[in-house]
Amino acid sequence: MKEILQSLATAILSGNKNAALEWAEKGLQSGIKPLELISGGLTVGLDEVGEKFECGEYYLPDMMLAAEAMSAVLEMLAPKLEQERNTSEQAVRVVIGTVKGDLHSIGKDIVIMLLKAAGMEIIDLGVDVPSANFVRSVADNGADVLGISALMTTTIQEQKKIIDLLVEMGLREKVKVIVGGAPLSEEWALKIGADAYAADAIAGVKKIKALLNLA
Amino acid sequence: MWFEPLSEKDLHLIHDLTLKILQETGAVVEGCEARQILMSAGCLEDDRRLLFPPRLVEDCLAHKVAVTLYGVDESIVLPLTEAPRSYTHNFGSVSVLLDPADNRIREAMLQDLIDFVRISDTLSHPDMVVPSLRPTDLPEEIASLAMTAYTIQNTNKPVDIGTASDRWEISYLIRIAAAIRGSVQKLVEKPIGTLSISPLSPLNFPADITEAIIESARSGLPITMLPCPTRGLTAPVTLAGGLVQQNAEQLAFLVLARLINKDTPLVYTCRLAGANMRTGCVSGRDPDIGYSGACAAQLARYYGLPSGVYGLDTGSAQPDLQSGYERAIGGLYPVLAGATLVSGIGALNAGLLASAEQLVIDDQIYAMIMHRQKGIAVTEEVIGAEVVNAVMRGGHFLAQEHTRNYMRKGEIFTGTLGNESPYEQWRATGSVTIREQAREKIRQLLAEHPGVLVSATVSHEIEVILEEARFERSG
Repeated sequence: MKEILQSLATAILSGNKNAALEWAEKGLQSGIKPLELISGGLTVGLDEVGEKFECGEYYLPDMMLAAEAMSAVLEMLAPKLEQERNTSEQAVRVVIGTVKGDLHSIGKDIVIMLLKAAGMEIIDLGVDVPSANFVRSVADNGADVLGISALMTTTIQEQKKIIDLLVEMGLREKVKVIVGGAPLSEEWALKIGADAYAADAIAGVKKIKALLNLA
Repeated sequence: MWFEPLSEKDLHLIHDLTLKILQETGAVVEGCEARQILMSAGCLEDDRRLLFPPRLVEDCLAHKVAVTLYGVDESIVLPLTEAPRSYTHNFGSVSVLLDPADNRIREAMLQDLIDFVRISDTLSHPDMVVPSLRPTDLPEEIASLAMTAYTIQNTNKPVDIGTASDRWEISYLIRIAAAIRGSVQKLVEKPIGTLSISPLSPLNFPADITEAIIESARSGLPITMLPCPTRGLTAPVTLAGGLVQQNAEQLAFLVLARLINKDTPLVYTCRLAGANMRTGCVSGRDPDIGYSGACAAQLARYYGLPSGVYGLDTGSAQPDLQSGYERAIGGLYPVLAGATLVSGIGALNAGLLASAEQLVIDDQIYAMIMHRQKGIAVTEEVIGAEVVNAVMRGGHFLAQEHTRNYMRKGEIFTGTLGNESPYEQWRATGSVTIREQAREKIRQLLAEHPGVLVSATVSHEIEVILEEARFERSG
């Protein structure tokens, strides 16, 4: 059993999706519980990925491949987990999207991958999202965090509109707002009333954890 | 004579694989009109993507169109197609600048944009003035239009008419630029610049973008085709792979523009960048910026198109040593490769931060990079063997007509910035740094600039157009 969990962790560490799925399957067959596969295999592997990233040995593609391998296993385990899960523990829920008039998705997608790997539940609104949709989604899903991406000097104003709308709807205090995008700055985030600004995806994940006191 | 990083075989393989991608994968094309135009020319529909038959691409490429830009003052001419040299321009649309007064960053204001334009107007480089700053005190709904409006009133040089994101903006940008010449027809005859349009990478032309391309191509004005793929994020991580995808984006753009108006002047403009693989941001200290620009310049020449590439670039947030060496490496390759337009003047932080000091220093950097772009002439007259003979028989090089003559012709570079005094003398004259020199030059250039360069009538006409645009957008 130990060997199987170890191999699953190694498969995550090397970002090998097929191997991860195989070892998870083997684990189930030999009677290991899904939650144990997660805590003793997936999480162990992912923690090591995080360490390797921190110390500079791993780069974004290593993270993305590991996250994809992890997602594939989680998806495979999902139906079995439903039966097993009895904890009242609820995953952190993040609504995220790129503002209206802006079609850039890559930065947002990296953030999503990393947040998923950190075990958060993501509601991805996509790109070119009208401000009202952000606010509606926060309300409908009871989101803990709202991530707003804007990549152009012409579209960053939309971020302010969304925050203003949250205030107007009385939702601002209920959700932490983090903004991202190449033309932004800390100063901008403060000015528009966001809780945090992140210069890149890694910083974004850290700041979200800090905002929720998870760090 | 140019530095050519790609062999004939490389060029053919890049071309063939580009055609294969366009034929088998195609590009996402949205907007009914663009889809209709492309499909009636033979493109096949595969979901949101359109597949481009190689024959169609080859036919559109075969039609050659010369590109010539003129200054706002039409006596300035930039013959891009047969350019025997590179022309320079600044970066565009940054809303944050490094204030020379306190070395802090702050939001750009309209007066900053005007100052940047006037400084650029007076320096030798840039040859073409791009609205560098996106002022935050302009009404947001017409900011792009106003940037162009204030740029063209403060320089005599050719400009970037604007980076447009939809059809409406294009129509207003054309009207604003036409105010300079008196009519759209005269503007098309002697264009004061290009319209820039950026599709998304990989291979994605959203409806607003195709409509902007259609509107621009119909006008007959030159278009800067401006995809901005990032290796490892929105394009293959290898430089060769990035070049092929970027080439496919260029050729898909070209096909659409040529089908609308076969005589559309087009500039093959490449912004292929590398990513920081830890942050996922575009890297400003990527030594491949210049090299990929050199490759792209060669590809453009292969197709008979003028090229536009990155040149000066840096990751640094200061006009410092890092900025200096990164700019030198980024600028040299494309200039030696004979790229038609090279960019980057005045930008720090991978184009996210503007600096007037850097703008002034870049004039000098480009002057030095351009100094030997055309190589050296090797003739008996230039070599001057008889001068050696004369000096050896009791003369002095300084007293030779040959020396004075060729010194005046630029054989010896004479820059205006930078120190070369010995240490003691440098100390004795106030230990002036390059940035202090730059700040002094900024003051001097702004004091010398005559101000608004167009007539009161033209100025008024431009204001009326802006007012109309604002009314339309807010109403």
